[in-house]
Amino acid sequence: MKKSFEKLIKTAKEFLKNSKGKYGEIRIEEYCGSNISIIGKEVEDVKSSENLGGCCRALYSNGWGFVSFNDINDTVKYFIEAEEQSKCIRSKKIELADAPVVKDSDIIKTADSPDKYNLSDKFDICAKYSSILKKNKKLQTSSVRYRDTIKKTLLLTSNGSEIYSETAFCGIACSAMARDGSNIQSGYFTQGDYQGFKKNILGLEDRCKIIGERAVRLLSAEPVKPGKYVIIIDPVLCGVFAHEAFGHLSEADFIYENPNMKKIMKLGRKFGGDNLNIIDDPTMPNLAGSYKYDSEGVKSKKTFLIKNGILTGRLHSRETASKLKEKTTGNSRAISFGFPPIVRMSNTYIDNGKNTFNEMIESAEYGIYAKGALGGMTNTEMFTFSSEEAFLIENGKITKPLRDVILSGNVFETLKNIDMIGDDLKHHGGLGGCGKGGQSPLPVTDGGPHIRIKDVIIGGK
Amino acid sequence: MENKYCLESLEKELRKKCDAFEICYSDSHNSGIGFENNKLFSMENNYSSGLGIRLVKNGKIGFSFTTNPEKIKETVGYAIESSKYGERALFELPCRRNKKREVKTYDENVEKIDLKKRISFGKQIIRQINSEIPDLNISLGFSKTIDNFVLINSNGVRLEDKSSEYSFGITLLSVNEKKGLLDISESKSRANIITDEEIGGMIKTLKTRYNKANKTAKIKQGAYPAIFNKYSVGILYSCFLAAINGKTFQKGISPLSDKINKKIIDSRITMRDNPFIDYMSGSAEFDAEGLPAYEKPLIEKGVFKNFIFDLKTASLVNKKSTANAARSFASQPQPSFTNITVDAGETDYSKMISDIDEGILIEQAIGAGQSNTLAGDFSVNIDLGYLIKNGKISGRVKDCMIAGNVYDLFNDIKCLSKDLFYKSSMITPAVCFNKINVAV
Repeated sequence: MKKSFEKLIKTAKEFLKNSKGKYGEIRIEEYCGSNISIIGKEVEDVKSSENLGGCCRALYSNGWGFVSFNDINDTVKYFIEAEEQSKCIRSKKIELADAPVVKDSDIIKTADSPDKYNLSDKFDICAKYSSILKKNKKLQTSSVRYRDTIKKTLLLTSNGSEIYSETAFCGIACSAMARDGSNIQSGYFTQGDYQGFKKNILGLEDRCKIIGERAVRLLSAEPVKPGKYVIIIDPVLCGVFAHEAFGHLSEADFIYENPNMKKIMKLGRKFGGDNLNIIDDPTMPNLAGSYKYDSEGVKSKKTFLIKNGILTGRLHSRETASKLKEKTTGNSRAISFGFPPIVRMSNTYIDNGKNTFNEMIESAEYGIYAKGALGGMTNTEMFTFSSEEAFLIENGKITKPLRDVILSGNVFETLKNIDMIGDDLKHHGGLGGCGKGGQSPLPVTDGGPHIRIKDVIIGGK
Repeated sequence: MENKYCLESLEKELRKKCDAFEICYSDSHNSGIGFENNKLFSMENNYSSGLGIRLVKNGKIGFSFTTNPEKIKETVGYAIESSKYGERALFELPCRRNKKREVKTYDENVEKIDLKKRISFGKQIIRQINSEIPDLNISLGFSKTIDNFVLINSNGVRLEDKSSEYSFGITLLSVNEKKGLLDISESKSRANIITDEEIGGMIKTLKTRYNKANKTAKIKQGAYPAIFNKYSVGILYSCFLAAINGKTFQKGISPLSDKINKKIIDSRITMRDNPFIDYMSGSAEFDAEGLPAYEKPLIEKGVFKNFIFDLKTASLVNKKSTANAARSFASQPQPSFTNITVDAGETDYSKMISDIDEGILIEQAIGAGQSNTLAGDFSVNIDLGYLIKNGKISGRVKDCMIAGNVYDLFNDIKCLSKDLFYKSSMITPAVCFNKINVAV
């Protein structure tokens, strides 16, 4: 990529160097990939595509100008446009935290990258999984979706950083749907990250079978009764909880200009038990939320958000770090050239505790064991997420299956109510991702062990 | 940009290489100004363009797209390769047809407007709200988009369409250690200019809603009468719309598959798909496959009337397209609704509230779409809801969930408002139900 745009890069660099503004950056992205989607009997989509585009972001002094485009030959013209926009903004001065000049490249790609496979290999595997699902005659419909993206990005900044990155993502999501009259139940799994094709895509025959059987089994499960319960959630749901319920709250763009929010999210404040540790770590190798530099060229690092129950850190862009007089964390990410970077999570998880899964189940007199996540959402104070499968716990034993279990609560109270933390941490990537400010789905992982939470609200009819 | 893709020579090449084809090109220019945390924060300009090719080769469908004009040859190759794995085409692409009606989707005043000139108005709005309600973080934005869409197919369709969109949105955020967080918004989006007077009206409504929500109220677990207004009733409609989408029917998972011409809900409900409302965001003279759009009932006096289809989905179930195809250049067409209208009832909106002894008014909820939506189930956390006590709104209720099934609810309607409300591509009355379950 660097070679094909050599002339453009030279001009752009020269131009950034001479810019009189406080800061400027240019991002050029080239990506290609394939999508396959088989829903029920039909092949809905099989496609490969090639994309090219760029964007310029300029901070002359008091506000941001941003221009995105496909026609990268006019990059310099667009940079001038972004700078002109920035000049129109006459609010208070924006300062940026220092970031060292970096000339580096970041390749998140294994030897088993999806571009080593041709479309027919990818299609055949999806067709195989789809046929396994279709063999289950009790299912009404099923879907298999596959996506890979090879993305090359060049980031140039006015302070002289030049970072080339290349990532190779691939992932798959399979779902099964069973129906009995108006009772519709589903089974679902997804996985996806930068660990390569074999690791993510091959050998999922059994999992396809299992989700089909689960969807059918859920048809005869009892609907849950609404109310407050002791809940034990599995690592997948725990990850969604870490992300939805707490992760978004620690994104500093939500805090830095809001005095009341600053008071609530004061570092040093106790949020949970001594056993609670919540971490965001983009430096773990090849997970969906992994990267070496963020979209502003800041080196990524592991950040403790909560350590021993105490709020110890948050996620920053250069702007929010400067405003809050804290250190940068490298969490300013843009999903593509169509968007400016905003503060985002990476690989976010609740760390291991000391309890075992059996201890937790045995400790619950009357509660719910909820597994898997169909979705999650937050308004930063309240959250809801839906489990894929759930069971009633009576007198320390899992008794009967329940369906339609949707958990909800107040973030602050729920964090305090986590009273047992397991020792079986897992990280989950996948085809989905995080959505914020219209930028979705951003690749992230959520992670955690089994945990036990008191007093969670469950809605029901 | 259009000429960079050399559509004419592409057409010639495709004619040689496949049985049938459809080229979809679009370029759009979106610009916006954004105020965040009470001050002007950013200005944006987004230029995007791209081209999609759907073709039929050896009787099978292939597709690809690109945003790089230098990769047209490769894109044709990808589309042909894709057809090896694609479904058999059981439909024919349409010939050129006449539109059934004219509808306005473009306003040159939107194209002409200079958003820089809206900066001072934005500042004035923030100053004014801040002077009346202290301690708020206000964000607001103006944006405009001009879209050019070209559709060419091998059977003679050649559509060129230009549309505009102008939007205004504002959010008040209040954070209070005791009361928690209150996030409340107003927004409007359509093809022509939104006037300063209209924006003034939106601000007034927003302040009223804020003041009502600033008081807190408690509700006990139980079943209560509930009003869904224009901010929230879409959550319930989306369950019906998922079931009415022909795609859901074709996959065999629509609960309405055997319900055509049967009564499914209260006879006071009439819901239509209407592409002919001037300047509304779902309006169009043709659908994205070049078929002339038309108005159709979805539910008429409680009786289910029509699924909606695009060409491919319809062909798989031996039906005709209802001219409801929608797409971007980067995707194949899918059945999609235009504008949704629901007929008004007979009750004044204010009387709807004053008639309730104890109940709730729902305006915002989080978690929609996570339940068994196809079956009509919903289970959401009340993000913004008010307790109605003795006919008056007494304050905001929080930390509770409501759940139910839309088919049950819409068979248990108390009343519909006489007043109709616009919300992006929907026109609806407020709906009051006899009871809904609240979990605390």
